Order: sequence, then C-alpha cells, then structure tokens
Amino acid sequence: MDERLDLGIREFNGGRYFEAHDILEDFWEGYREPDRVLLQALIHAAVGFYHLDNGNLKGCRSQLSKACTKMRAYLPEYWDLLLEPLHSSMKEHIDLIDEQRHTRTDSLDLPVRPRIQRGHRVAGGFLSIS
Amino acid sequence: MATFITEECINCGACEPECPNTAIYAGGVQWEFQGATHDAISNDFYYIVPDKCTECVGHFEKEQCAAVCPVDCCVPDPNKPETEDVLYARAKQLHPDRAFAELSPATSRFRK
Repeated sequence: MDERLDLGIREFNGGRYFEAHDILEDFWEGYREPDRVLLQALIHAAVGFYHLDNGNLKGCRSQLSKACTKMRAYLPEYWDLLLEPLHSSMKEHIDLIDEQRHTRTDSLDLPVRPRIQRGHRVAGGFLSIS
Repeated sequence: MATFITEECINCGACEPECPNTAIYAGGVQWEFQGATHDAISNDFYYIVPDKCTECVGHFEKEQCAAVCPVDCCVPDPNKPETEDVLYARAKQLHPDRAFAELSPATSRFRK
C-alpha cells in the first residue's frame, strides 16, 4: 500500500487531522480503484475531527456521518486496517453531539478521539499491531 | 440550482482551479465579474458566486467542483433552483467568445 496511507494514519493518530486529510487526499486523488471510497471515508473522518477541534459541530457531525456511511462496506477490517473501533467511535461521537446539541462547544462531554488501528488476521481473531 | 459550498469545507482549494467559469474564490477574497469587484460571500471558506455558476452546463457532464471535492461539500443549492436553459444562457454570457456546441450528456448533467 502507498506510503501516504501510512503517513496519513500517523497524522490522524497524532491528532493532526488537517495534515492527515491533506496527505490522504493527495493519495485519493490519484487512486482510481473502487475501494478509493474507503480512502474518502478516512478523509471524512479526519475532517470531521478537525471540525470538532475548531468548534464546528455541524460540519463535524456531517463529516463523521459520511465517513460512517462510506466505511460500512469495509467493516470490520480492510487492507490491514481495523475499522470497526473507528466506526463505533465515530457513531458514538455523532450520538453524543446530537444529545448535547444545546451545550456550549467547549463544554461538550465527548470520548477520547479514536485511533486507526492496524493489524492482520490470525487464527481466532485479528491481531492489532498498532 | 447553483452549486454552493457548505461549512464542511476544509479550505483545501481543490475545487477552485477546476471551475470553468472562475466562479470559486477563497474565503475573504473579493470576486470579480465583468470588470467590477464585489465583497466576498464568505470570509471563512471557499465560496461559489451564484451569478457565475452554470453547474458546469456547457462545459462538462457534471459539476467539476463536486467531482474533486474530497469532503463532498460542493452541493446543489436548494434555494436557487435553475433550469438547464438558464444555466446554458449564463455559460454563453460568461464566455461570449466561445462557440458552444449543442448540449449533450458530455456537456450537461441534465442530459444523463
């Protein structure tokens, strides 16, 4: 897989969402296989958390929702990405944003930001390696 | 409908060079039309000038900004419904020196 996927995930897991989006977008632009949809889902996820960092809840909710929709076909894992935990966390963020829609942005009670975990399938399960 | 950019925009700028009508501007940048300049429609993120948007009618089979937007935030504006005839007439007005061929599926999203 292209090294930009590695770099993009590294930025995402470091909370540098704009940079993550930027790198993944560069990869997505030139990648023409059908599963480019998953790359776009990761971009949506990065942009969603970028908007959350900047208090744009409407933009965050919309982007995370698009990420969840596009990621659904690739659950629970694809390539070497464990997508189920990321998908679950994004859905949790959406639900909590909806529940707290009248709360000030800086007072929102939201879970820890998810990481994109990587691994590979072994007998009896999926081995996370990062 | 003119196309517009929602607040989901992350200001990546991918859309701007794709517009055949130079209808897209960065937030805070004044827009130009027929020699006159106008205040920015958005100061926060990229925006599309409705008077310069033809939804790519006359040029491409679909809106090029939407095609390249990585976050799907270039969408039809439900508050500005416009017919293919109106959009095609605007394309001709914007490009008076260009000879437009008859519209086809390759040059109008309405012909799909």
